[in-house]
Amino acid sequence: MRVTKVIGAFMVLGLIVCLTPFTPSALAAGSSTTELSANYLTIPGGESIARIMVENKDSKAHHYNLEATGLPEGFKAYFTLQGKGIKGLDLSASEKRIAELHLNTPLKATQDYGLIKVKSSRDDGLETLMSVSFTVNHDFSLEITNQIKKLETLNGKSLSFDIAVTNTGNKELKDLGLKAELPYKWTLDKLTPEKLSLKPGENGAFRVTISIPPSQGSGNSILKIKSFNGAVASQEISIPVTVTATAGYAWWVIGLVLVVGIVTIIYFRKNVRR
Amino acid sequence: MNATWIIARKEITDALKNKLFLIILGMLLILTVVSVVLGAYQVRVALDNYTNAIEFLKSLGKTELPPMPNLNPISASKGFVNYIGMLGALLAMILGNYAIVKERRSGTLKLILSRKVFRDTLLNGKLLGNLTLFAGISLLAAAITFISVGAIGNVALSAGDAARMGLFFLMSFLYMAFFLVLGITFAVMVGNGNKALLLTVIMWLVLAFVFPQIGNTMDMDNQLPGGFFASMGMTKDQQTKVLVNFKFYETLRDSIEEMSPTKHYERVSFALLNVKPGFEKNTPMEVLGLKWINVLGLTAPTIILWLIAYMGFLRREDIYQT
Repeated sequence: MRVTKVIGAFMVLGLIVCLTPFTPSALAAGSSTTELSANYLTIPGGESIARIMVENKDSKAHHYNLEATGLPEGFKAYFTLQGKGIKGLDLSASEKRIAELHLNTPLKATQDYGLIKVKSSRDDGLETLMSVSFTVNHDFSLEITNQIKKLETLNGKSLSFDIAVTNTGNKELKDLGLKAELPYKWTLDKLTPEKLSLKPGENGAFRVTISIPPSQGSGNSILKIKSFNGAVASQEISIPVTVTATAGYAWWVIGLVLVVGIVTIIYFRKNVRR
Repeated sequence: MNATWIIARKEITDALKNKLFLIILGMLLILTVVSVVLGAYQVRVALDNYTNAIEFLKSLGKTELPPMPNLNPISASKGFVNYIGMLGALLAMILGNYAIVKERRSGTLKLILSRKVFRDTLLNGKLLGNLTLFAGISLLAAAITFISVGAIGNVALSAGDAARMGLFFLMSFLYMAFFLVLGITFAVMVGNGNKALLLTVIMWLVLAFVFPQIGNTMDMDNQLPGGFFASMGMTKDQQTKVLVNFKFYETLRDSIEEMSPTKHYERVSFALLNVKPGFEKNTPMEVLGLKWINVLGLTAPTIILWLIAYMGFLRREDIYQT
């Protein structure tokens, strides 16, 4: 009886180790047909990373194409290897490497649970499938709720606008900040408040002030903004900004043309046309 | 007006007999044809690749087909910007200089001005004749581009693209007009024709190469190979703090760049041709509206130089010297 309990405890422990997201799932894309499944927690608008081990059990080098199939509507997935996006990888004989599957969950996920298949296709046609399940956790969810269609400003000037955020999760979100990805040489002058706490269902707003350098040529640029804290991040919104050149330079040029024009008229009147 | 037009026609006839002008014009047209044909061919390759990919996907039974990539056929003319920047400007300066110097050297200036022709009429006629030539060159280059994109690129230009292309060639014409007037002005102001041409070329080098280069080399981030900020391992926040302290420096750098008509021509042309991203959704007139400063930067110096040429020519007594 005691032996059975010990064996049972080991089995449970083994299962927990296998299911933890930090354990690379084995996609033995060689002779093995072993499939392991792991469950990953993800949040609305967030990204979950599953580590996928791809192993070449053959005695020759092979190229493996990776593909995630069966994604529910709105979900997106891509693979990376050491931080770089990949669509496949090359493995020498008996080599194994860990790729990362990035699963992006939409803000309004159509389903809270799901199973996606990771398919590895070897260059000789051998295919291996691995299942990865996920659960959408609605405790933490954050959304940027105002959609700014377009902003217009002049170069060399400041631009202020509001970003409204809503806690759409079930738990309070503390220390929410705002991250703005700005075009080169644009500066974030002021963010009020710097941190924000929101109870479930509550709205808040950040006042953002940015500076556009005088050297910015007129044209269209994009601001990318998202709100975040240690537990959750909102979707990233893109705000188009149209920058028009200030008239300072133009006034100088037009003034100069007028001055030279007047001088020419006076010159012609004084010296007589000939 | 009649006298102006007679002088203008004479200018066109003289230019077409000028071997240097014809050689440079030939070079410009050959480069234009090569660059536009290559650009149009690239468009065709991209279009064929897309068509093949779609056919392959359809043969596999796929229903979700990728959207057509932005082929941007008008970018076939982007090489033309560089050729006009160099050869077009050179052509204009030579014609501008030649317009005055040839009359002075042959003694015909004295003859023309002894008739009932005002000095400003003479200048107007020379300007009109040469501008007509440059308008013809621009139209010819535009025709080559339109035909190449259609025949080789196999792409029909939309009305918006055609308008953008037309405006681009108008900007090219304005750019050449500036250097034509620069050539005429120096030829009027400086008695010696060779010295005038040398000074015009020096001015061109400063405006077309030195000023834009100063703008680039004075850029904070260009101070070290691979980027100053990246080399120093600075985060975006740290970069922001540094840049805040260099506002005056940035303004100075920008002001030097603004003095270059070449920079203005590049900016408005790249926006019209969609070479610079961010203008794809704008109409041609909206692009001009956004880039009006650059259009002004191209035209205002031409007007100022022309008025200076008028004043210089009116009172010069040594213009009869050969």
